[in-house]
Amino acid sequence: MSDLFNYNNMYANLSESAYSDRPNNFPPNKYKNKEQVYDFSVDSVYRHKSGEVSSTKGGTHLPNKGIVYLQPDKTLENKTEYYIDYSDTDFFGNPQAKKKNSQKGLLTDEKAGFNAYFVTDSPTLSQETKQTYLAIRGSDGFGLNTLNDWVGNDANFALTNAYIPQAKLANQALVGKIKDIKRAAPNATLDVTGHSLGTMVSAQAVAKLYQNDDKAFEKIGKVVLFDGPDVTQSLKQMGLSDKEIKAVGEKVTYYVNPFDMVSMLNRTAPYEAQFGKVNVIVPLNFSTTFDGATSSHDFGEFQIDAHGNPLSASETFHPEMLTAGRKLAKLLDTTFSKVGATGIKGVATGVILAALSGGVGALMALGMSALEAKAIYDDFNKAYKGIVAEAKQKASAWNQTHIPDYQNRIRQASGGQKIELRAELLQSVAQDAVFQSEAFVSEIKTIMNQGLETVQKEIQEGHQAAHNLATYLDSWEVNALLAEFNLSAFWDSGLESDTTRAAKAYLREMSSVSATLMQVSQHIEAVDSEGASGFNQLMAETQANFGRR
Amino acid sequence: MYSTYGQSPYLNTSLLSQQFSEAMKAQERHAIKAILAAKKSKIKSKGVTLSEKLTMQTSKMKKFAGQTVVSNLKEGLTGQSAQAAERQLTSRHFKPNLKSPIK
Repeated sequence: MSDLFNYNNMYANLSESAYSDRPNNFPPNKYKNKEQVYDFSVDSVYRHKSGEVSSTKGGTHLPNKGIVYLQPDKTLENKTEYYIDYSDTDFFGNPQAKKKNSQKGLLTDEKAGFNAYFVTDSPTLSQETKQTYLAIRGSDGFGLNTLNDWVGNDANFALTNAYIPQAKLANQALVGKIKDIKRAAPNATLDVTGHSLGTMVSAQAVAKLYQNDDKAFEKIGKVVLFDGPDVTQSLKQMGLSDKEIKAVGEKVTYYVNPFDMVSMLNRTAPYEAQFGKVNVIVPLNFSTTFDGATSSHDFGEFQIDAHGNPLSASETFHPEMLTAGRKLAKLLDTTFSKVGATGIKGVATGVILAALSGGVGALMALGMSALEAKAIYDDFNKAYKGIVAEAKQKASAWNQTHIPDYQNRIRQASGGQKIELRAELLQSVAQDAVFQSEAFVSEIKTIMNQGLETVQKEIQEGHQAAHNLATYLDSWEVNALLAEFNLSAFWDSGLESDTTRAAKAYLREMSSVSATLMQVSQHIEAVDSEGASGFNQLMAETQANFGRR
Repeated sequence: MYSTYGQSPYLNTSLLSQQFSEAMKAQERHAIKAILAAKKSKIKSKGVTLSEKLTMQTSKMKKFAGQTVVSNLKEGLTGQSAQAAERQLTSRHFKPNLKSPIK
């Protein structure tokens, strides 16, 4: 799990806070009957249930100085249901009657897997309120385990091309909240945000609002969505025309990770032809959706500057990210076709996506043979990793070509443009430094392996020659002569470990400098004014994160 | 006509055979030791090569941090923050101590 590194983007903050077990999270305060204040301008340190600790820097240039109020959901009620549990019987073999509690309200339907949070920039809705937000949660937690959960959980089973149940609930929430805003806070607009499955719920709910009540739709400000699939086809199935989809899309902005399977689902069309304005980010790491701590589906991959802009690719800035995203979208599409060709019918893309994350076994569970499952999974996995590796190689080449170019352009630039170029230069230098350091570590590994192989070869040849030569000597005597002619006599494994450790320490130090440079790039003006102390403080913070201090 | 080989009172063939075998064994011992000595010397020379490679790698890594990255940062960082970054990149943390494990 990786959290946001800073709170510079309010939408990313709210989307992350909508999840459980995240910094500044909303769920524990959901049942309070009074508004709860959250301040995203201050730094936070959060200990996850797993014991992992993450620190997030307070946001800068945030609306209302980063302060928002989580509003209570007064419609929330506890529902109790009774059911017969046939798997649990008493002494006489009779099934047990059991009780199950669930929460239901305008913003919550626990059974349907719908959770939304209404947030405002004033303690209560009033004439003073300018901005309100609806943050819609995706499935709780994500990554490999949760993707698997999607298979078994119909409620979270959202990656289809249909108008999904949670979106219907989200639409009702929008209608209800817009009514409240119109009545009590006429100067306010409502922004919508979400991550992962929450993006589909948000997009469909907003589109439905446009379809049903264009006056209410006018109250929607921005819809900012992270790491979610394109929903164009589902909107068409909901009956929206191309023109209407375009009109709704004017308010919608996506930030998607080119290496994330969920982000790139349904994105085979050119980015500009997809729903909303699609920004392909330049992620922090070159990793897949399955890569645990650095999963491309997580918040920690967004590199957000002091003004809240996630670092994004364009035709002139790391265009390899745009290509990688297109390739992943196509790979997913091809893989779905292959699954279809095995004769499996009626399985939604969401299930296939989840099955791909679960490996051969999960694909077999869809009903295909072991051979088919293995072939599909191996091809997919190889191609997926290949896309990420190729992008990394291209990013490295791009950095090396463009660093001198940036330096020239910065010399001629001024004001805001200069800051922007400096930020891009620092990001490129930071990325290049880590790439090169990784290459150094790999070179050292190769040098050491070659050294070890040479020694082993000489030892083996010595043994062979001695045994070949001995005709009169007894084998025990030959062995005695060779007793000390072994690897430990020539190879000091302690020194080998020291060298490997030194190489890794270099990479760790460079990664720490790189992370500092990334931080500087996001806060250039502040670091400029603070001079050495600003840089050193950021360096100390990142070193703490990298475990040196 | 019959053979007198092995029956001469002056020749102890078994002893001769044993002596020959011992001589051959001694020769084999010497030869094996020579092979092993040659191999040891070859491994030692490989150790020198490995040390040289690691020394080159150390200087390449040191140069990358202290010169390439520092120079790449020009125009990106300015004034005291540039100096702070340079101090960091030229510190001992970027001079890895890479030792050859070949004894």
